[in-house]
Amino acid sequence: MKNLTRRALFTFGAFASLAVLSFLGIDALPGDGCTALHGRFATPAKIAECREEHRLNDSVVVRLGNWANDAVHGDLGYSIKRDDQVAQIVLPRIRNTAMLAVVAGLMAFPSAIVAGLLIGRYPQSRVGRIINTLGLVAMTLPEFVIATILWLVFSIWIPIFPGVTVVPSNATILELLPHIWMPALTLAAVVFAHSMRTMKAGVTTVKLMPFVESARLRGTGERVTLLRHILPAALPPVVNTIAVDAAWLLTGTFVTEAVFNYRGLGRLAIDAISDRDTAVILPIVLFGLGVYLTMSLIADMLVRLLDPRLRQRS
Amino acid sequence: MNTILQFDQVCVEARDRHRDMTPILQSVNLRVEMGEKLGIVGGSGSGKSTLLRIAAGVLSPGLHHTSGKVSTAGVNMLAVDPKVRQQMYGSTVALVAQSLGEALTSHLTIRAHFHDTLGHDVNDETILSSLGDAGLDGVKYLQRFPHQISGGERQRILLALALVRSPSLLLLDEPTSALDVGTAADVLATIIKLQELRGFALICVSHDLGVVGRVSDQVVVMNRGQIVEHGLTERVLATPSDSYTQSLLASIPRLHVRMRTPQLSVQPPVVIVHELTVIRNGSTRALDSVSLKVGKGEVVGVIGESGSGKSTLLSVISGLVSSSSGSIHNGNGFDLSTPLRNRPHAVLSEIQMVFQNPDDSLNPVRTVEQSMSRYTNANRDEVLVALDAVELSAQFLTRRPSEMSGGEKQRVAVARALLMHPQLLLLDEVTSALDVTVQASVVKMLASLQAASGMSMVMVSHDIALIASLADKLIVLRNGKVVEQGSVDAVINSPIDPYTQHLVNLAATAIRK
Repeated sequence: MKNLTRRALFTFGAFASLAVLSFLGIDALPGDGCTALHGRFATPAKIAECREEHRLNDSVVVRLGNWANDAVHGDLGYSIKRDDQVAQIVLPRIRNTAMLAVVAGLMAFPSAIVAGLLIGRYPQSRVGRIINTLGLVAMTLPEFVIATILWLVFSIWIPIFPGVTVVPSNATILELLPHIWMPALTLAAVVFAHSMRTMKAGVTTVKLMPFVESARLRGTGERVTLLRHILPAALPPVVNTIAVDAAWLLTGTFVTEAVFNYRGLGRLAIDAISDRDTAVILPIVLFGLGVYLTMSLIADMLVRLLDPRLRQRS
Repeated sequence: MNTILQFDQVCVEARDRHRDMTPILQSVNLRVEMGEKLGIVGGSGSGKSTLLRIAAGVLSPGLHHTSGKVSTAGVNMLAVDPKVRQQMYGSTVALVAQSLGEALTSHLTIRAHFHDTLGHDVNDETILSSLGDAGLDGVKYLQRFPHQISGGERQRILLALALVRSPSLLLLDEPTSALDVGTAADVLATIIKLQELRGFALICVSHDLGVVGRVSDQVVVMNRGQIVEHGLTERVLATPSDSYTQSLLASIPRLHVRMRTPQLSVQPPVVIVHELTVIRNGSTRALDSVSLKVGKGEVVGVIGESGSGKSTLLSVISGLVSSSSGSIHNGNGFDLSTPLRNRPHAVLSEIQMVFQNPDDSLNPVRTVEQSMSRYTNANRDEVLVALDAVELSAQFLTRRPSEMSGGEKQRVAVARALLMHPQLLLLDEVTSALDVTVQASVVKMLASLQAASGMSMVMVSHDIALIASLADKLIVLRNGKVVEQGSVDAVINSPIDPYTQHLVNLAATAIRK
């Protein structure tokens, strides 16, 4: 338990210091909210006026302090370019991306664990080989190619899903749901093979271990051996793979969101970077940071749950 | 009588990547009756484990059954549907494979192991009575995970699990090789008791004639895939007819048989250890106020069970582990608690260590010459002299570890240590990975090496008879403390400490002869 507390504190410390680094890094980029607002119609006078109004002339330390203080109190700042509260802009996008990630994750991870378990246990099976090959192909193909194939199949040949999202970013979940399947399927196809192959490799190793043979030779049934002896021993590396992939689903979906015109965080990040809206970029970067740190913390805890030898040490 | 197991002309081969075949079992015929107790002995590679496993219908990867028939309880094990075979496990035949504590599933409690074997409707009383028969009392075991119990307890749990559904044939592969001498004797006593109680047929495989002698009525001696002798255990141990059996028996170290004459004169010391304490993991005392002196040309034997601190002692002397308090000096008064990187070259080379397993200490991709000259800057002539000292010829220069036997590899490891012309050689269980016959030849080589070079040695082992055959002085360690220390003859003939007495008694009764 002591270890876990230390681990959580470390995660928080890492987040805080990386947040400061991100703020300074983004601040060091050329341009700010005022140049973004006026774009190529900027005059030195307009910019100076704007900077005065939004207190951008304060030293970087003061602005960092103010930003951090506001953020802790739930205020993520104000986008001069978009003339709106940053929270109003970012939070719905986070929700949309999270929904997409959850659906894609539910499609990919449980099926990958089951497929990896069975393919690892029965490597001769023909269905297993086909699934393995398809997974590999999907993993190597770029997302936009998968998206195009899915389009062709599910929007044109068998038109059951809409090809492009035509709802605004603040649509209700029910309105959004029909548009989620195609991008989710694309993302699921990309990550499926990672965890499936990790699982398969784990099972291939574990099934030859002495304790598995020992269980079988005591008369433990095949199903019990597979589910209670092999599966938990093969899971720890898969948990870590899934954690990395889940973090990617929440932060790395730029291409897929752009292809399907899905109003998620990825689209917003591309837009915010291209018009140098630093106020919006910062929370997106921090969200990504938080996601990766949290996922690895969760993975560590799950691995500990799976192995009593690690549990005792913590 | 009813036959429980029958082998007819069974042949098994190993095939490697190049489709080269090596015979593992050559036309083995064997018959075991209900309730019989059979021991199988042989060196590594003799096929004894393969024979045991094939009786349960199991072949390790890479092995192929080429001809002959194995029938267990009337079932043709190698031809039958795997599902039928699976049905037999636990109820007709049970195999407890050789393992170093890896035969239990680390993420499951002991209770869960029983549930998976018996079904989840089984009550705790059944489990407890089964554990009780195997000599484990107490509800406390049910909730524990395998890593929370000792090696001897794990072996008992494996026995209880194997016997809980009353099989008529129990197959044991090296049931005690991972255990300390004392624990091993207790586990063997439990096996004998259980067999008398339940009357199952027992086949016990071991490299150790002592183990087999204790549990079996009949013994089979195997060499190179063949049964070279089969008879009543008493008869085979007393008057072996086969030459291999004879050499096997002659190789067993005996308490009162010396490979060299103990030297008792006091010589100037090469290492002085004073009140040395090593604390590990915050509070555990791996060594607790240990004092000893190693004189020039003296051989000091250190005995103890696992966890006694005997390997830690060598690690401290070699400088691999630092001490927490106490002092350690060499003969010239140099402080050996100095970290390795700060020691002068002359001090470093005067102490050399040889490790337990040559497979871990020799790089598998290097030839003997590369391994030996790599960090020693020795030229070929020096390498040849060192190889000659361990009785290896020049043709070994180009061999890689995979092309040598265990004994040859260990000789190379010793030769490499000799290149530095050490004054003190530290030997950590150097023969425990070797077959008895090979062990005897390595011990003999060490004795003549010591006589020729006048080197001092500190030798660690769990085998008191083995170490007594070489040493001048014995040190008995228990829980990090020296419980007895003295000349070999004094310790062996009139041990004072009860623990030493126990060890000497076990060794004296190890072989019924």
